[in-house]
Amino acid sequence: MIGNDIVDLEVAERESNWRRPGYLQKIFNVEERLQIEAAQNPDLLVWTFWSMKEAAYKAYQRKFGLGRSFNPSKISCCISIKENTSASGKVRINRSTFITKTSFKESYVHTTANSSEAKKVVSKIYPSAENVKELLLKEISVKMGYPLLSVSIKKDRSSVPILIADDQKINLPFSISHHGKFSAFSLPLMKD
Amino acid sequence: MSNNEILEKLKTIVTPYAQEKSGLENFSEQTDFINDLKVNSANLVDVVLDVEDEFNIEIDNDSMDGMLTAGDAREIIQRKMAAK
Repeated sequence: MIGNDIVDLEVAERESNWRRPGYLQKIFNVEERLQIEAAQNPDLLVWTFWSMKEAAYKAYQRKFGLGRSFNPSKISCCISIKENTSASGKVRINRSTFITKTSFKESYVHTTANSSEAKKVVSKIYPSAENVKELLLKEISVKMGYPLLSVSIKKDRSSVPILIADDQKINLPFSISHHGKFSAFSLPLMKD
Repeated sequence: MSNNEILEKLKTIVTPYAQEKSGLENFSEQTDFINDLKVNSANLVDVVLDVEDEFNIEIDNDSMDGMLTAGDAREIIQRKMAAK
């Protein structure tokens, strides 16, 4: 299962004051908070952890068909490999583990979460608030050979978005995210 | 405190975080913070902290879990105030 999350760092800086007393305790466990405290760039680590948790939570919701809930402090995450412009890590939610890949740019942090190590995920990130749904549908129609007009996105009973083609549900995991001026989607890797 | 008084205070709290201001016009128990008001999830934490300050209560992370609508929040606030 797949999830993704994007954080517009400029908007995060402007709209979310994570230094507010009590804020971090609501979303991060003790171990994560210690790492943030010790970080050279705590802002970047806060939003990296945040996007890891959000991306994994979306994949988790899709996997189990769960409704919405909000308790990020119950989700634990760690970074295993950190490079200049990317990081790999793991996120645990109850008994499920997700592998995450995060990419950093000056202006955003983007994470994909995946429940399977074997399956590859591809993501597209758009630097403007484009109509990402339309772009995703176009991509699916090209890759899977459906006419563009026959594919659409609906939400199922647990408000997880699903794909419909020719009035039938297609079992293809996907994930869309928006924040600030950015939008992104993730899909399983498909051959052209 | 009556349900309406709590809802009024909640409305004041969420107003700065609501990206969909039109959702505030019919603010009620059914108002969904994310779907109707487009409060982003990072700001949902601010809503919880503001609620704690305003009502002088502590909302544990498990209770925060179920706080999706104004009605959910109202119920949690009343439960926590009664337990004080």
